[in-house]
Amino acid sequence: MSDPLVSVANVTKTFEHEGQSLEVLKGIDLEIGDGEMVTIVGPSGAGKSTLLHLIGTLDLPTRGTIRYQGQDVTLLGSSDLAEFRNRSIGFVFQFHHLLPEFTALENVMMPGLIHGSRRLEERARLLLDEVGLSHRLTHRPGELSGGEQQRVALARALLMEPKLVLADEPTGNLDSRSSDAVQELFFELNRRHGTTFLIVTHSRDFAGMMPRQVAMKDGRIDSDERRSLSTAKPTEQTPGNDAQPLENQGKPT
Amino acid sequence: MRNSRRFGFWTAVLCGLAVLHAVAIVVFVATSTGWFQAMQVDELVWIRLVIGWATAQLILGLLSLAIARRARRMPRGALGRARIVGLSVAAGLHASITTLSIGIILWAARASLGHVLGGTTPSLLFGLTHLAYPDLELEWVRTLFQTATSLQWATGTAIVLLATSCWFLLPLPRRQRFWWLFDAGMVLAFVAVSSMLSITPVEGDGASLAGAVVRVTVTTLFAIRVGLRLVGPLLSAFERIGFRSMVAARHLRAKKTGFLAASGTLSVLAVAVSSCMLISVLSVMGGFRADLMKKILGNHAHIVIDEALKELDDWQLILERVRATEGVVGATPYLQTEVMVSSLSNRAGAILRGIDPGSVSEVTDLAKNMTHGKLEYLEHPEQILDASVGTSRKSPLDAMLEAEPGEDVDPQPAAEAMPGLIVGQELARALRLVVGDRVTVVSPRGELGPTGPIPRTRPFRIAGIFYSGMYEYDMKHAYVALDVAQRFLKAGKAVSGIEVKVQDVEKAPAMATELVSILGRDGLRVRDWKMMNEQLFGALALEKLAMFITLGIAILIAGFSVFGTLTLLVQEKRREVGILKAMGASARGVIRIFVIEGLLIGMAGGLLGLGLGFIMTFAAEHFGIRMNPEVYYIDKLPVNLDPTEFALVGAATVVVCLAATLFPAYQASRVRPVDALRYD
Repeated sequence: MSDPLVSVANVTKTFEHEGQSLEVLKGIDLEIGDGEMVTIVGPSGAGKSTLLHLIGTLDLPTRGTIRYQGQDVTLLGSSDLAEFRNRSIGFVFQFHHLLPEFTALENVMMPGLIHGSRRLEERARLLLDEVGLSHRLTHRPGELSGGEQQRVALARALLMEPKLVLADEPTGNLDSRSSDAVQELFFELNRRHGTTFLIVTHSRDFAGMMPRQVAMKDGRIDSDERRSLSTAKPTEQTPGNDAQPLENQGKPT
Repeated sequence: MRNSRRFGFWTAVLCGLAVLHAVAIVVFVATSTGWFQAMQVDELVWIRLVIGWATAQLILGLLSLAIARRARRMPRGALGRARIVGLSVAAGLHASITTLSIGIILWAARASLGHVLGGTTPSLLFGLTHLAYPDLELEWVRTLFQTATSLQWATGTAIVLLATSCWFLLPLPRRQRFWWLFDAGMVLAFVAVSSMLSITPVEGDGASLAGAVVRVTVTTLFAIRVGLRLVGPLLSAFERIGFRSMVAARHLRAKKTGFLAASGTLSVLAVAVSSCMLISVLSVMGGFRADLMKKILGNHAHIVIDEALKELDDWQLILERVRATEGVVGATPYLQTEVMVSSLSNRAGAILRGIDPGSVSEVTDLAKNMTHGKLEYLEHPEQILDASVGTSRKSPLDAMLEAEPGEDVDPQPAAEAMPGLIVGQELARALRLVVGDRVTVVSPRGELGPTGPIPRTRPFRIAGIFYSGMYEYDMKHAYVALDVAQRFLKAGKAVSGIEVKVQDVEKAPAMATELVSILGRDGLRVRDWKMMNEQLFGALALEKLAMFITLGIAILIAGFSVFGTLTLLVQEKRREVGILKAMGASARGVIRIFVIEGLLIGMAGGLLGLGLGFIMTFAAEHFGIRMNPEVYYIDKLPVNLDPTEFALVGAATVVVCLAATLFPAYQASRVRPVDALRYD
């Protein structure tokens, strides 16, 4: 493996709370290669989300470096960081965090609009089609089911063709059916586009399906297991089912 | 919600009735003078009115009962129940207060207590009764009516407020349908009034005035509706500009929580009201200035050429040269001195001006301002007595002239010998003069007699009376023919100076300097009107500036409310700001989003305010708000619409709103996505 996509070196993060400092991350070293699917698991308070935020440049580490393909993003200025987030990272959150005033299509187009590109509608439509929501383009987030919202969020995260998509408990708020559909979508997109996914999850099933599992505990990495891809996975089904894996899933009617 | 649906109907009926009620009051106030006159002739009119009024109140009362009955069937705690009950109570109170007080007053009147209800209160009822029974005077009746009137106002306000809030209980499609119908009606009404009614009322014609008022009202409502209908498409167009304007427009459009919606509406209204107030006041002040300027320029020349210390001898030459100059409309010589004018009854000081009746009209409005007599009489004083009729002193002469047309009439030599004098209306009033009267003018430039200086006196006959609209002139100025003045003052052929009128009033100072170089003579003073009235216009400009600043503070305060609204909005949109930032929006982008939102609020308010201000000043200019000429010396409120002032007020509004947005926008840009997106 050549230069890793992300390399986190000796990162610590300390929060100040009422005069007491709380060390949430106590020296993290992690490398994620291009096209990998990594999950972070661990008990609540282990620092999973904080690590995810740091990797996503939403927050800065107290110490340590985070490099993307060799570039240290902790040294970037705020507008460069914004530009970097816009181009290189996609986010999917536990609560979909879609903009309520905009339709599904507009929400998907939003990163492109922020970037200033105009001709995005075609691509946004394609993406929504890919996540199986081509019939819900003009619906607002409030009019979509939880699974649909999360799929819109996923489409939004992919719009700018980022190398890395970060997901923080993407299925945490979904019922098992919708959750399965969304999980399947992650694998599907990884296979099709080669996008790297870093997913924080509490779901054992989901974590069990992932080829690489990083376990965290008390702000440290407990274990980092890579598994062979031969374990039984729902995605490894017949190609016929693959073509349209998401139709009629996770939504009423 | 089936119940609120049904109540919607009753509320609508009540609203309709309230509108009719308000219209009745407006019509009554607008046409009250006509009615007063009609009532003096026909006593039945007021009886019909009282009966009609009482019937309206009865219907209101019945309606409130119907609403109350329905409200009782609503389950406790249902949405809008309290409002509907409140509405019914307010309407019932209003109706019963009015009906009861009408009843009591009618009874008191029928009891023929024989007194007069003195004083005035803003009560239609009171006025009506006062008219009906002018000899009804009872202290308790008045107290009753004052109480009843205040209660009526209170309940009326409650009805309007509650009905407005009940309106929102109606389901949205119904409300939309109503507005479509309303707008269709508006279009029809607009077309109808535009084609049928004239916008400029005929002077003194009540019907045409009412027509013009109706037209302006309908046009205003139409414009407001069109404006509201345009908001959506305009915002949609605005959204297409780019990501920031798109987010900003969506934020403003989105359904907000009640408090924010109210705060937003209020800040738009605050900006509107303050800018409307500012522009109206500035227009009225500008109107006063324009009025004053018109009067000053009408009575005085734009430029005066004279010598500081002595009179002008070679004025003919100067006059020729001035007249030949480009941009000069007219020039006329004058001779001026202070005199005492005494009539049979009184005496007063005045400024006597010898003028050239032939050329004075080129320069001043004297000929136009004549209310009695004619300017020509100055040259032909013998015509004064022929023309002036109707006064007792001349009737014997007229009788003599008409009785013996063929015979040799003995003319009055004394009358013919007297030259004419034109005085202002106020001077004429003070000295009790009419055209044809004889006055004595005393000049202080006397001759030296054996006992000291003897003032020179000379009899004049009043040739005319003018009204300039400026008290100063009407009280102080008297005009005679130039040669008469020269002889009277022993000035030879000299004049005090030359008055010049130029084409462009605003260019008078430049023309003055030009004239100096053209005339090229030392000792000549060339002064333009701005120079001569510097203090007056300086004071007016200062007053206007002070007003602009004082009322500008109102806009500033409106800016505070924009600030508050935006701060609330930023609080409410914290999470979304976090999302946008996570997706790569920069801090500057976020600032711009909220600045745009604040500017949109400010611009909406500013446009609304300027529009309302325009309509108000336009209406005041066209319909004329009457003022007491005894107090103000003008009979109508002068209004001057100045596009520069509109632009200035608009710019001030936008600047204030922009300033108000900066801090909330900065706060928004500081939101950290990690905090905003936290799950708790």
